[in-house]
Amino acid sequence: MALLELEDVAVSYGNIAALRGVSMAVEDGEIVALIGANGAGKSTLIKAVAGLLRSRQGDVRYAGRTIKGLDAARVARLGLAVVPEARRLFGAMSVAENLELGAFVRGGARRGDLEEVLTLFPRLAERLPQKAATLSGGEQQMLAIGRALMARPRLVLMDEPSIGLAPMMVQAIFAAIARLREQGRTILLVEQNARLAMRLADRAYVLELGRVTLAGQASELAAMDRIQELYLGA
Amino acid sequence: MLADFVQTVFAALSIGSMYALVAVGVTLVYSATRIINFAQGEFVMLGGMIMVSLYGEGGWPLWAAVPVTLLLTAALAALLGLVAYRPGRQGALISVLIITIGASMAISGSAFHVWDGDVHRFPAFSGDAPIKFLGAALAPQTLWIFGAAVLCIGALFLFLHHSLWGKAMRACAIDRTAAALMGIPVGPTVLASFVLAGLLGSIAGIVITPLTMVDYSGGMLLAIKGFSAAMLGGMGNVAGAVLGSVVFAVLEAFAATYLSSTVKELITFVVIILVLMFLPNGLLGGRQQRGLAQEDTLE
Repeated sequence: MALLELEDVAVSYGNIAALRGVSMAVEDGEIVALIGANGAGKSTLIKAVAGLLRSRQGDVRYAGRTIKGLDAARVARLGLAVVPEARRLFGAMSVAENLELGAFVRGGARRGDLEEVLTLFPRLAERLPQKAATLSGGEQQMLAIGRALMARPRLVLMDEPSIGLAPMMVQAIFAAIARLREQGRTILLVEQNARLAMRLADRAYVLELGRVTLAGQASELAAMDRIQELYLGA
Repeated sequence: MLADFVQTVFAALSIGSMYALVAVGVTLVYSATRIINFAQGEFVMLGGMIMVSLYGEGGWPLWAAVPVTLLLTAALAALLGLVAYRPGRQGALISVLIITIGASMAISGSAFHVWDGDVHRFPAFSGDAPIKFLGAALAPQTLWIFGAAVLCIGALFLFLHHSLWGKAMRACAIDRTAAALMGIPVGPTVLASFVLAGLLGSIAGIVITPLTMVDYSGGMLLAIKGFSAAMLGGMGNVAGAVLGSVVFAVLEAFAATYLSSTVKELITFVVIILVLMFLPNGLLGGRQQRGLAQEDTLE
Protein backbone atom coordinates (compact mmCIF):
# COMPACT_ATOMS: atom_id res chain seq x y z
CA MET A 1 0.00 0.00 0.00
CA ALA A 2 1.25 3.45 -0.86
CA LEU A 3 2.28 5.77 1.98
CA LEU A 4 0.14 8.58 0.57
CA GLU A 5 -2.86 8.01 -1.66
CA LEU A 6 -5.19 10.59 -3.16
CA GLU A 7 -8.38 9.30 -4.66
CA ASP A 8 -10.63 11.56 -6.72
CA VAL A 9 -9.71 14.68 -4.71
CA ALA A 10 -11.63 17.82 -5.66
CA VAL A 11 -11.24 21.29 -4.14
CA SER A 12 -12.96 24.51 -5.17
CA TYR A 13 -12.50 28.12 -4.15
CA GLY A 14 -16.08 29.35 -4.30
CA ASN A 15 -17.19 28.58 -7.84
CA ILE A 16 -13.71 28.06 -9.19
CA ALA A 17 -12.60 24.44 -9.26
CA ALA A 18 -8.90 24.12 -8.45
CA LEU A 19 -8.71 20.31 -8.35
CA ARG A 20 -11.15 18.21 -10.36
CA GLY A 21 -10.83 14.63 -9.24
CA VAL A 22 -7.12 14.00 -8.73
CA SER A 23 -5.81 10.53 -7.92
CA MET A 24 -2.18 9.88 -7.21
CA ALA A 25 0.11 7.97 -4.88
CA VAL A 26 3.50 8.28 -3.18
CA GLU A 27 5.26 5.06 -2.14
CA ASP A 28 7.58 4.79 0.84
CA GLY A 29 11.09 5.89 -0.09
CA GLU A 30 10.03 7.54 -3.32
CA ILE A 31 10.56 11.05 -4.60
CA VAL A 32 7.53 12.07 -6.60
CA ALA A 33 7.48 15.28 -8.60
CA LEU A 34 4.30 17.15 -9.26
CA ILE A 35 4.72 19.58 -12.10
CA GLY A 36 2.40 21.97 -13.81
CA ALA A 37 1.94 25.57 -14.81
CA ASN A 38 0.82 28.39 -12.54
CA GLY A 39 -2.74 27.80 -11.45
CA ALA A 40 -2.72 24.10 -12.32
CA GLY A 41 -3.63 23.29 -8.72
CA LYS A 42 -0.26 22.16 -7.36
CA SER A 43 -0.34 24.20 -4.17
CA THR A 44 -4.00 23.40 -3.67
CA LEU A 45 -3.11 19.72 -3.73
CA ILE A 46 -0.43 20.20 -1.08
CA LYS A 47 -2.89 22.12 1.09
CA ALA A 48 -5.55 19.44 0.67
CA VAL A 49 -3.09 16.79 1.87
CA ALA A 50 -1.75 18.94 4.72
CA GLY A 51 -5.19 19.59 6.14
CA LEU A 52 -5.36 23.27 5.21
CA LEU A 53 -8.12 22.63 2.65
CA ARG A 54 -10.71 19.89 2.51
CA SER A 55 -11.61 17.81 -0.52
CA ARG A 56 -15.34 17.74 -1.10
CA GLN A 57 -15.21 14.21 -2.50
CA GLY A 58 -12.94 11.20 -2.70
CA ASP A 59 -10.36 10.42 -0.04
CA VAL A 60 -6.86 11.20 1.17
CA ARG A 61 -5.13 8.27 2.85
CA TYR A 62 -1.83 8.35 4.67
CA ALA A 63 -0.17 5.24 6.10
CA GLY A 64 -3.35 3.27 5.56
CA ARG A 65 -5.79 5.64 7.27
CA THR A 66 -7.90 8.43 5.94
CA ILE A 67 -6.66 11.90 6.84
CA LYS A 68 -9.35 13.79 4.96
CA GLY A 69 -11.02 16.19 7.36
CA LEU A 70 -8.20 16.20 9.90
CA ASP A 71 -6.88 19.68 10.68
CA ALA A 72 -3.33 20.64 9.80
CA ALA A 73 -1.96 20.18 13.32
CA ARG A 74 -3.30 16.61 13.50
CA VAL A 75 -1.91 15.73 10.09
CA ALA A 76 1.48 17.11 11.17
CA ARG A 77 1.43 14.92 14.26
CA LEU A 78 1.09 11.84 12.02
CA GLY A 79 4.57 12.47 10.66
CA LEU A 80 3.75 14.47 7.56
CA ALA A 81 5.81 17.66 7.30
CA VAL A 82 5.26 20.54 4.91
CA VAL A 83 7.70 23.02 3.42
CA PRO A 84 5.00 25.55 2.62
CA GLU A 85 4.60 27.88 -0.29
CA ALA A 86 6.38 31.19 0.44
CA ARG A 87 8.19 29.37 3.28
CA ARG A 88 6.10 30.89 6.08
CA LEU A 89 8.91 31.12 8.59
CA PHE A 90 8.39 32.70 11.99
CA GLY A 91 10.21 35.83 10.89
CA ALA A 92 10.46 37.58 14.25
CA MET A 93 11.88 34.45 15.89
CA SER A 94 15.45 33.20 15.69
CA VAL A 95 16.67 30.54 13.28
CA ALA A 96 17.24 28.22 16.25
CA GLU A 97 13.68 28.79 17.49
CA ASN A 98 12.25 28.10 14.05
CA LEU A 99 14.11 24.79 13.97
CA GLU A 100 13.03 23.94 17.47
CA LEU A 101 9.39 24.53 16.56
CA GLY A 102 9.84 22.13 13.66
CA ALA A 103 10.34 19.44 16.29
CA PHE A 104 7.19 20.49 18.18
CA VAL A 105 5.35 17.32 17.09
CA ARG A 106 7.92 15.28 18.99
CA GLY A 107 7.83 17.42 22.09
CA GLY A 108 10.91 19.41 21.14
CA ALA A 109 14.27 18.77 19.56
CA ARG A 110 16.45 15.88 20.77
CA ARG A 111 20.17 15.56 20.60
CA GLY A 112 21.29 14.96 17.05
CA ASP A 113 18.26 16.54 15.35
CA LEU A 114 19.86 19.92 14.99
CA GLU A 115 23.23 18.49 13.96
CA GLU A 116 21.58 16.58 11.15
CA VAL A 117 19.92 19.67 9.72
CA LEU A 118 23.08 21.73 10.13
CA THR A 119 25.08 19.06 8.30
CA LEU A 120 22.65 19.37 5.42
CA PHE A 121 22.67 23.18 5.54
CA PRO A 122 25.96 24.34 7.14
CA ARG A 123 25.07 27.97 6.35
CA LEU A 124 22.33 27.85 8.95
CA ALA A 125 24.84 27.03 11.68
CA GLU A 126 26.28 30.57 11.60
CA ARG A 127 22.81 32.07 11.58
CA LEU A 128 21.24 30.28 14.57
CA PRO A 129 20.77 33.37 16.80
CA GLN A 130 19.60 35.61 13.94
CA LYS A 131 15.97 36.44 13.31
CA ALA A 132 14.62 34.32 10.45
CA ALA A 133 13.40 37.43 8.63
CA THR A 134 16.97 38.68 8.27
CA LEU A 135 18.08 35.66 6.21
CA SER A 136 18.50 35.79 2.44
CA GLY A 137 15.83 34.11 0.32
CA GLY A 138 17.92 31.00 -0.22
CA GLU A 139 18.79 30.73 3.47
CA GLN A 140 15.12 31.12 4.34
CA GLN A 141 14.31 28.22 2.05
CA MET A 142 17.02 26.15 3.70
CA LEU A 143 15.49 27.00 7.05
CA ALA A 144 12.01 26.06 5.84
CA ILE A 145 13.27 22.66 4.71
CA GLY A 146 15.34 22.22 7.86
CA ARG A 147 12.35 23.11 10.02
CA ALA A 148 10.27 20.43 8.27
CA LEU A 149 13.04 17.84 8.71
CA MET A 150 13.23 18.58 12.45
CA ALA A 151 9.91 16.74 12.77
CA ARG A 152 11.68 13.57 11.55
CA PRO A 153 8.78 13.17 9.15
CA ARG A 154 7.85 10.03 7.27
CA LEU A 155 6.72 12.14 4.32
CA VAL A 156 7.81 15.64 3.34
CA LEU A 157 5.69 17.81 1.08
CA MET A 158 7.67 20.58 -0.59
CA ASP A 159 5.81 23.39 -2.28
CA GLU A 160 8.00 25.11 -4.87
CA PRO A 161 11.25 25.16 -2.88
CA SER A 162 13.15 26.81 -5.74
CA ILE A 163 10.74 29.63 -6.50
CA GLY A 164 12.19 33.12 -6.58
CA LEU A 165 15.74 32.01 -5.78
CA ALA A 166 18.95 32.93 -7.56
CA PRO A 167 20.33 30.11 -9.78
CA MET A 168 23.14 29.39 -7.31
CA MET A 169 20.64 28.95 -4.50
CA VAL A 170 18.39 26.77 -6.64
CA GLN A 171 21.39 24.49 -7.18
CA ALA A 172 22.10 24.40 -3.44
CA ILE A 173 18.49 23.55 -2.58
CA PHE A 174 18.33 20.79 -5.16
CA ALA A 175 21.66 19.41 -4.01
CA ALA A 176 20.17 19.16 -0.54
CA ILE A 177 17.09 17.39 -1.89
CA ALA A 178 19.40 14.99 -3.73
CA ARG A 179 21.06 14.20 -0.37
CA LEU A 180 17.67 13.57 1.18
CA ARG A 181 16.98 11.21 -1.70
CA GLU A 182 20.17 9.30 -0.92
CA GLN A 183 18.97 9.00 2.67
CA GLY A 184 15.87 7.24 1.38
CA ARG A 185 13.43 9.98 2.35
CA THR A 186 9.93 10.09 0.95
CA ILE A 187 9.19 13.42 -0.71
CA LEU A 188 6.38 14.87 -2.74
CA LEU A 189 8.02 17.71 -4.62
CA VAL A 190 5.89 20.37 -6.22
CA GLU A 191 7.89 22.38 -8.71
CA GLN A 192 7.66 24.79 -11.57
CA ASN A 193 11.25 24.04 -12.39
CA ALA A 194 10.30 20.79 -14.11
CA ARG A 195 13.77 20.11 -15.45
CA LEU A 196 15.38 19.89 -12.03
CA ALA A 197 12.43 18.20 -10.42
CA MET A 198 12.29 15.43 -13.05
CA ARG A 199 16.00 14.82 -12.70
CA LEU A 200 15.62 14.07 -8.99
CA ALA A 201 12.29 12.30 -8.97
CA ASP A 202 11.52 8.63 -9.36
CA ARG A 203 8.08 9.32 -10.71
CA ALA A 204 6.19 12.40 -11.80
CA TYR A 205 2.66 13.61 -12.28
CA VAL A 206 1.67 16.43 -14.58
CA LEU A 207 -1.19 18.57 -13.37
CA GLU A 208 -3.16 20.67 -15.84
CA LEU A 209 -6.20 22.73 -14.86
CA GLY A 210 -6.84 20.62 -11.81
CA ARG A 211 -6.49 17.22 -13.46
CA VAL A 212 -3.65 14.74 -13.73
CA THR A 213 -2.95 14.55 -17.46
CA LEU A 214 0.22 12.50 -17.41
CA ALA A 215 1.89 10.19 -14.94
CA GLY A 216 4.83 7.83 -15.06
CA GLN A 217 8.53 7.33 -14.48
CA ALA A 218 10.21 10.71 -14.35
CA SER A 219 12.83 9.71 -16.90
CA GLU A 220 10.19 8.54 -19.38
CA LEU A 221 8.08 11.64 -18.94
CA ALA A 222 11.08 13.88 -19.38
CA ALA A 223 11.75 12.27 -22.75
CA MET A 224 8.25 12.92 -24.08
CA ASP A 225 7.90 15.60 -26.74
CA ARG A 226 4.85 17.13 -25.14
CA ILE A 227 6.62 17.56 -21.80
CA GLN A 228 9.72 18.87 -23.49
CA GLU A 229 7.67 21.46 -25.28
CA LEU A 230 5.44 22.56 -22.40
CA TYR A 231 7.65 22.30 -19.33
CA LEU A 232 11.25 21.84 -20.30
CA GLY A 233 11.41 24.64 -22.84
CA ALA A 234 12.99 22.51 -25.53
CA MET B 1 10.88 67.98 49.64
CA LEU B 2 12.82 64.75 49.44
CA ALA B 3 10.09 62.96 51.36
CA ASP B 4 7.53 64.11 48.80
CA PHE B 5 9.69 62.88 46.01
CA VAL B 6 10.29 59.45 47.55
CA GLN B 7 6.61 59.15 48.38
CA THR B 8 5.77 59.86 44.76
CA VAL B 9 8.23 57.23 43.57
CA PHE B 10 6.51 54.71 45.86
CA ALA B 11 3.16 55.63 44.38
CA ALA B 12 4.52 55.29 40.86
CA LEU B 13 5.93 51.90 41.79
CA SER B 14 2.58 50.44 42.80
CA ILE B 15 0.53 52.08 40.04
CA GLY B 16 3.15 51.11 37.47
CA SER B 17 3.13 47.51 38.62
CA MET B 18 -0.62 47.33 38.25
CA TYR B 19 -0.58 48.98 34.81
CA ALA B 20 2.19 46.65 33.73
CA LEU B 21 0.19 43.55 34.66
CA VAL B 22 -2.79 44.87 32.69
CA ALA B 23 -0.73 46.11 29.75
CA VAL B 24 1.21 42.87 29.42
CA GLY B 25 -2.10 41.02 29.34
CA VAL B 26 -3.39 43.34 26.61
CA THR B 27 -0.25 42.94 24.56
CA LEU B 28 -0.22 39.14 25.01
CA VAL B 29 -3.74 38.73 23.66
CA TYR B 30 -3.05 41.25 20.93
CA SER B 31 0.02 39.46 19.69
CA ALA B 32 -1.76 36.10 19.67
CA THR B 33 -4.96 37.30 18.02
CA ARG B 34 -4.66 40.94 16.87
CA ILE B 35 -7.55 41.56 19.25
CA ILE B 36 -7.42 44.59 21.55
CA ASN B 37 -9.08 43.16 24.61
CA PHE B 38 -10.90 45.98 26.35
CA ALA B 39 -12.26 43.50 28.88
CA GLN B 40 -8.76 43.02 30.31
CA GLY B 41 -9.38 45.51 33.13
CA GLU B 42 -12.42 43.55 34.31
CA PHE B 43 -10.15 40.75 35.48
CA VAL B 44 -8.44 43.20 37.85
CA MET B 45 -11.84 44.22 39.20
CA LEU B 46 -12.93 40.57 39.51
CA GLY B 47 -9.70 39.52 41.19
CA GLY B 48 -10.28 42.24 43.77
CA MET B 49 -14.01 41.56 44.19
CA ILE B 50 -13.71 37.80 44.55
CA MET B 51 -10.96 38.31 47.13
CA VAL B 52 -13.24 40.72 48.99
CA SER B 53 -15.80 37.93 49.30
CA LEU B 54 -13.45 35.06 50.07
CA TYR B 55 -10.60 36.66 51.99
CA GLY B 56 -12.03 39.93 53.25
CA GLU B 57 -15.55 38.90 54.27
CA GLY B 58 -15.36 35.10 54.04
CA GLY B 59 -12.37 34.82 56.32
CA TRP B 60 -10.62 32.31 54.06
CA PRO B 61 -6.87 32.03 54.54
CA LEU B 62 -4.79 33.69 51.83
CA TRP B 63 -3.44 30.37 50.56
CA ALA B 64 -6.95 29.18 49.78
CA ALA B 65 -8.54 32.43 48.64
CA VAL B 66 -5.88 33.32 46.07
CA PRO B 67 -5.94 30.03 44.09
CA VAL B 68 -9.74 29.96 44.02
CA THR B 69 -9.82 33.58 42.83
CA LEU B 70 -7.30 32.79 40.12
CA LEU B 71 -9.23 29.71 39.05
CA LEU B 72 -12.51 31.61 38.74
CA THR B 73 -11.01 34.47 36.74
CA ALA B 74 -9.08 32.05 34.53
CA ALA B 75 -12.32 30.24 33.69
CA LEU B 76 -13.98 33.53 32.80
CA ALA B 77 -10.98 34.55 30.69
CA ALA B 78 -11.22 31.26 28.80
CA LEU B 79 -14.91 31.93 28.20
CA LEU B 80 -14.10 35.39 26.89
CA GLY B 81 -11.49 33.87 24.59
CA LEU B 82 -14.03 31.40 23.21
CA VAL B 83 -16.51 34.20 22.51
CA ALA B 84 -14.09 36.75 21.06
CA TYR B 85 -11.75 34.50 19.12
CA ARG B 86 -13.17 32.30 16.42
CA PRO B 87 -10.49 31.39 13.90
CA GLY B 88 -11.60 31.48 10.31
CA ARG B 89 -14.83 33.18 11.23
CA GLN B 90 -13.03 36.30 12.32
CA GLY B 91 -15.17 39.21 11.20
CA ALA B 92 -13.94 42.75 10.88
CA LEU B 93 -11.54 43.82 13.62
CA ILE B 94 -14.08 46.40 14.72
CA SER B 95 -16.69 43.73 15.50
CA VAL B 96 -14.26 41.86 17.74
CA LEU B 97 -13.44 45.16 19.42
CA ILE B 98 -17.11 45.70 20.12
CA ILE B 99 -17.33 42.16 21.51
CA THR B 100 -14.59 42.89 24.05
CA ILE B 101 -16.14 46.23 25.00
CA GLY B 102 -19.50 44.49 25.33
CA ALA B 103 -17.90 41.77 27.45
CA SER B 104 -16.37 44.46 29.65
CA MET B 105 -19.77 46.06 30.23
CA ALA B 106 -21.42 42.67 30.78
CA ILE B 107 -18.81 41.69 33.36
CA SER B 108 -18.98 44.94 35.29
CA GLY B 109 -22.78 44.93 35.10
CA SER B 110 -22.89 41.38 36.43
CA ALA B 111 -20.45 42.32 39.17
CA PHE B 112 -22.82 45.07 40.24
CA HIS B 113 -25.56 42.47 40.71
CA VAL B 114 -23.40 39.76 42.27
CA TRP B 115 -21.87 42.24 44.71
CA ASP B 116 -23.08 45.83 44.87
CA GLY B 117 -22.19 49.37 43.91
CA ASP B 118 -19.99 50.03 46.93
CA VAL B 119 -16.27 50.48 47.17
CA HIS B 120 -14.56 47.54 48.89
CA ARG B 121 -11.20 46.59 50.22
CA PHE B 122 -9.66 43.85 52.29
CA PRO B 123 -6.74 44.00 54.74
CA ALA B 124 -3.22 44.31 53.39
CA PHE B 125 -1.31 41.01 53.45
CA SER B 126 1.45 42.22 55.77
CA GLY B 127 -0.45 44.73 57.83
CA ASP B 128 -0.70 48.48 57.41
CA ALA B 129 2.20 49.66 59.56
CA PRO B 130 4.17 51.85 57.13
CA ILE B 131 7.84 51.33 56.53
CA LYS B 132 9.69 54.63 57.01
CA PHE B 133 12.19 55.43 54.31
CA LEU B 134 13.86 58.83 53.78
CA GLY B 135 10.99 60.52 55.49
CA ALA B 136 8.39 58.86 53.31
CA ALA B 137 5.99 56.13 54.36
CA LEU B 138 5.91 52.95 52.32
CA ALA B 139 2.86 50.75 52.67
CA PRO B 140 4.09 47.15 52.98
CA GLN B 141 1.50 46.15 50.39
CA THR B 142 3.51 48.12 47.82
CA LEU B 143 6.20 45.47 48.10
CA TRP B 144 3.63 42.75 47.44
CA ILE B 145 2.42 44.61 44.39
CA PHE B 146 5.88 45.22 43.02
CA GLY B 147 7.00 41.69 43.82
CA ALA B 148 3.96 40.15 42.16
CA ALA B 149 4.46 42.21 39.00
CA VAL B 150 8.17 41.44 38.72
CA LEU B 151 7.63 37.75 39.43
CA CYS B 152 4.69 37.28 37.08
CA ILE B 153 6.06 39.26 34.17
CA GLY B 154 9.47 37.68 34.63
CA ALA B 155 7.92 34.21 34.64
CA LEU B 156 5.88 35.05 31.56
CA PHE B 157 8.99 36.26 29.76
CA LEU B 158 10.86 33.07 30.63
CA PHE B 159 7.88 31.00 29.51
CA LEU B 160 7.58 32.80 26.16
CA HIS B 161 11.27 32.67 25.35
CA HIS B 162 12.59 29.53 26.97
CA SER B 163 9.86 26.90 26.86
CA LEU B 164 8.59 24.99 23.86
CA TRP B 165 4.96 25.89 24.59
CA GLY B 166 5.86 29.53 25.04
CA LYS B 167 7.64 29.55 21.73
CA ALA B 168 4.64 27.79 20.20
CA MET B 169 2.46 30.59 21.56
CA ARG B 170 4.68 33.20 19.90
CA ALA B 171 4.62 31.17 16.70
CA CYS B 172 0.80 31.19 16.72
CA ALA B 173 0.94 34.94 17.15
CA ILE B 174 3.18 35.33 14.10
CA ASP B 175 1.55 32.92 11.66
CA ARG B 176 -1.31 30.63 12.65
CA THR B 177 -1.18 28.53 9.51
CA ALA B 178 2.52 27.87 9.78
CA ALA B 179 2.06 27.07 13.46
CA ALA B 180 -0.63 24.52 12.61
CA LEU B 181 1.72 22.96 10.04
CA MET B 182 4.21 22.46 12.90
CA GLY B 183 1.56 20.43 14.72
CA ILE B 184 0.82 23.19 17.25
CA PRO B 185 -2.82 23.11 18.40
CA VAL B 186 -3.51 26.74 17.53
CA GLY B 187 -6.98 27.16 19.05
CA PRO B 188 -6.05 25.91 22.53
CA THR B 189 -2.77 27.86 22.44
CA VAL B 190 -4.57 31.10 21.65
CA LEU B 191 -7.09 30.35 24.37
CA ALA B 192 -4.17 29.89 26.75
CA SER B 193 -3.02 33.42 25.95
CA PHE B 194 -6.45 34.73 27.05
CA VAL B 195 -6.18 32.70 30.25
CA LEU B 196 -2.66 33.96 30.99
CA ALA B 197 -3.80 37.54 30.38
CA GLY B 198 -6.79 37.02 32.67
CA LEU B 199 -4.52 35.61 35.36
CA LEU B 200 -2.18 38.60 35.16
CA GLY B 201 -5.15 40.96 35.56
CA SER B 202 -6.53 38.95 38.42
CA ILE B 203 -3.19 38.94 40.23
CA ALA B 204 -3.06 42.71 39.82
CA GLY B 205 -6.51 42.97 41.41
CA ILE B 206 -5.53 40.69 44.29
CA VAL B 207 -2.45 42.66 45.29
CA ILE B 208 -3.63 46.20 44.52
CA THR B 209 -7.06 46.21 46.18
CA PRO B 210 -5.79 46.74 49.77
CA LEU B 211 -4.26 50.03 48.56
CA THR B 212 -6.60 51.35 45.88
CA MET B 213 -9.86 49.60 46.79
CA VAL B 214 -12.21 48.16 44.23
CA ASP B 215 -15.72 48.61 42.91
CA TYR B 216 -17.63 47.03 40.04
CA SER B 217 -16.94 49.86 37.60
CA GLY B 218 -13.18 50.22 37.67
CA GLY B 219 -12.30 47.78 34.87
CA MET B 220 -12.80 49.86 31.75
CA LEU B 221 -10.60 52.75 32.81
CA LEU B 222 -7.88 50.27 33.74
CA ALA B 223 -8.19 48.53 30.37
CA ILE B 224 -7.80 51.85 28.61
CA LYS B 225 -4.76 52.64 30.74
CA GLY B 226 -3.32 49.21 29.98
CA PHE B 227 -4.05 49.64 26.29
CA SER B 228 -2.42 53.09 26.34
CA ALA B 229 0.67 51.77 28.12
CA ALA B 230 0.94 48.90 25.65
CA MET B 231 0.55 51.31 22.72
CA LEU B 232 3.13 53.68 24.16
CA GLY B 233 5.64 50.86 24.49
CA GLY B 234 4.74 49.25 21.18
CA MET B 235 1.81 46.86 20.87
CA GLY B 236 2.74 43.19 20.87
CA ASN B 237 5.94 43.75 22.79
CA VAL B 238 6.10 42.60 26.45
CA ALA B 239 9.09 44.80 27.34
CA GLY B 240 7.32 47.72 25.65
CA ALA B 241 4.21 47.17 27.72
CA VAL B 242 6.29 47.33 30.91
CA LEU B 243 8.12 50.44 29.74
CA GLY B 244 4.88 52.18 28.75
CA SER B 245 3.38 51.34 32.13
CA VAL B 246 6.33 52.81 33.98
CA VAL B 247 6.15 56.01 31.94
CA PHE B 248 2.44 56.44 32.60
CA ALA B 249 2.79 55.63 36.29
CA VAL B 250 5.60 58.15 36.75
CA LEU B 251 3.68 60.85 34.85
CA GLU B 252 0.52 60.23 36.83
CA ALA B 253 2.20 60.01 40.21
CA PHE B 254 4.21 63.17 39.72
CA ALA B 255 1.26 65.04 38.26
CA ALA B 256 -0.81 64.06 41.28
CA THR B 257 1.87 65.18 43.72
CA TYR B 258 3.09 68.37 42.08
CA LEU B 259 0.06 69.58 40.08
CA SER B 260 -3.22 68.15 41.24
CA SER B 261 -4.78 64.71 41.36
CA THR B 262 -7.46 65.81 38.90
CA VAL B 263 -4.98 66.38 36.06
CA LYS B 264 -3.41 62.95 36.25
CA GLU B 265 -6.02 61.27 34.03
CA LEU B 266 -5.81 64.20 31.66
CA ILE B 267 -2.09 63.66 31.25
CA THR B 268 -2.57 59.98 30.42
CA PHE B 269 -5.04 60.72 27.69
CA VAL B 270 -3.11 63.61 26.22
CA VAL B 271 -0.05 61.37 26.04
CA ILE B 272 -1.92 58.51 24.42
CA ILE B 273 -3.50 60.78 21.83
CA LEU B 274 -0.05 62.16 21.01
CA VAL B 275 1.31 58.59 20.77
CA LEU B 276 -1.48 57.48 18.47
CA MET B 277 -0.92 60.53 16.26
CA PHE B 278 2.84 60.73 16.10
CA LEU B 279 4.28 57.44 17.31
CA PRO B 280 1.82 54.74 16.27
CA ASN B 281 4.43 52.00 16.59
CA GLY B 282 5.28 52.99 20.15
CA LEU B 283 8.68 53.45 21.78
CA LEU B 284 9.96 49.92 21.18
CA GLY B 285 7.65 49.25 18.29
CA GLY B 286 9.87 50.21 15.38
CA ARG B 287 11.71 46.93 15.12
CA GLN B 288 8.68 44.87 16.01
CA GLN B 289 6.63 46.61 13.35
CA ARG B 290 9.09 45.71 10.65
CA GLY B 291 8.89 42.12 11.83
CA LEU B 292 5.11 42.21 11.60
CA ALA B 293 5.18 43.76 8.12
CA GLN B 294 7.47 40.97 7.04
CA GLU B 295 5.08 38.32 8.28
CA ASP B 296 2.07 40.00 6.77
CA THR B 297 3.61 39.50 3.36
CA LEU B 298 3.91 35.80 4.14
CA GLU B 299 0.21 35.46 4.90
